[in-house]
Amino acid sequence: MNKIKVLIVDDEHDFAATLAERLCLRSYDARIVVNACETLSLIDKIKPDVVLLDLNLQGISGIEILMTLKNVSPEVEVILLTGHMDIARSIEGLRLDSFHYIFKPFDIRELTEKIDAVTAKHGRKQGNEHA
Amino acid sequence: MPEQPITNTLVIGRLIALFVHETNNHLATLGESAGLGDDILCARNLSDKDKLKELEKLLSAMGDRIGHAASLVRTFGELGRCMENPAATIDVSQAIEGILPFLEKLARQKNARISIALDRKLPAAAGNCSELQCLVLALFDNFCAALEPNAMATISAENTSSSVMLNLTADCPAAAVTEKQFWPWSSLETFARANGFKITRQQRGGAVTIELRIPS
Repeated sequence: MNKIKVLIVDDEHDFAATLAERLCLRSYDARIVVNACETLSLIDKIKPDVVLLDLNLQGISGIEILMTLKNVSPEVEVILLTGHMDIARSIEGLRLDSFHYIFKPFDIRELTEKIDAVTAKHGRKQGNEHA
Repeated sequence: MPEQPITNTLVIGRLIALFVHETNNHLATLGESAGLGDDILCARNLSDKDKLKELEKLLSAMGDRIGHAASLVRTFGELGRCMENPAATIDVSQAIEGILPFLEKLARQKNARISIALDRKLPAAAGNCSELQCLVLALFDNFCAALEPNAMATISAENTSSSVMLNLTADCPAAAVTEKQFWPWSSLETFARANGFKITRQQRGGAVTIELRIPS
């Protein structure tokens, strides 16, 4: 079975790396990008099923990346990661057809359930067991 | 951000937002690390010896992370102390260094490399401490907003005969500086002038230099 590809976009390297490791233990193919500038080129290369996008990236907003992402790769599912209840920006996200978001810190089960739910739309299924 | 006068409240709000964002990142990382520890303990394909080795590494990383968070809290506490006490004195380099972690974080997002050279003999600044920190933060914000990806930037502070000069220099097209700035420059100038500081911005070739003059 092909693993679900998850791209984590977060400028907090240790957080992204630890989360990626935990997702890999749960049989996801998780990779990280810590720099907003590299996200778009990598999207094209690895074609992820899901992008976990930090909403509060500095320099360029997560929303800007989300808009570009949806333009170049409309089929990719995006789950916004946000540190606080930035409702206004989440609403902006809603308008962009991205209604998935999760508040940091979060429970890994909550996240994997969300990843499975959004990818299920495309006929993808992932077990949540880890070795 | 719409054109509006810079106020301490506005800048302090920005400072709090940056601080909370950073602290929350540390907490989220610690949460994930604790979860990974749990994953390792439950892993069926690892021997006890391997689990112990992995857990040792993880605990050490968590200790470092707690150290970073504690240092951030101390820095923020120090900024708060200066802001609540108008009579407090603060070393100018301390005022700048306190905000540097935020600057470095902002710059990392653009892969920018920043070299920092602060003169160790900067005098203490009495009064206007919180205003000085607010101004430095706003300048850093503008500076980082204008940085091009992979830019090289330098920050230096030196003691001249009558003032302390803070210089921020980076490879930036002029348009980037005016278009991408976080705080309106004219409002920043007004804020600086009202608190006894002077700021200037110069474009030389492809490089932009922002200067902050602090009377000593």
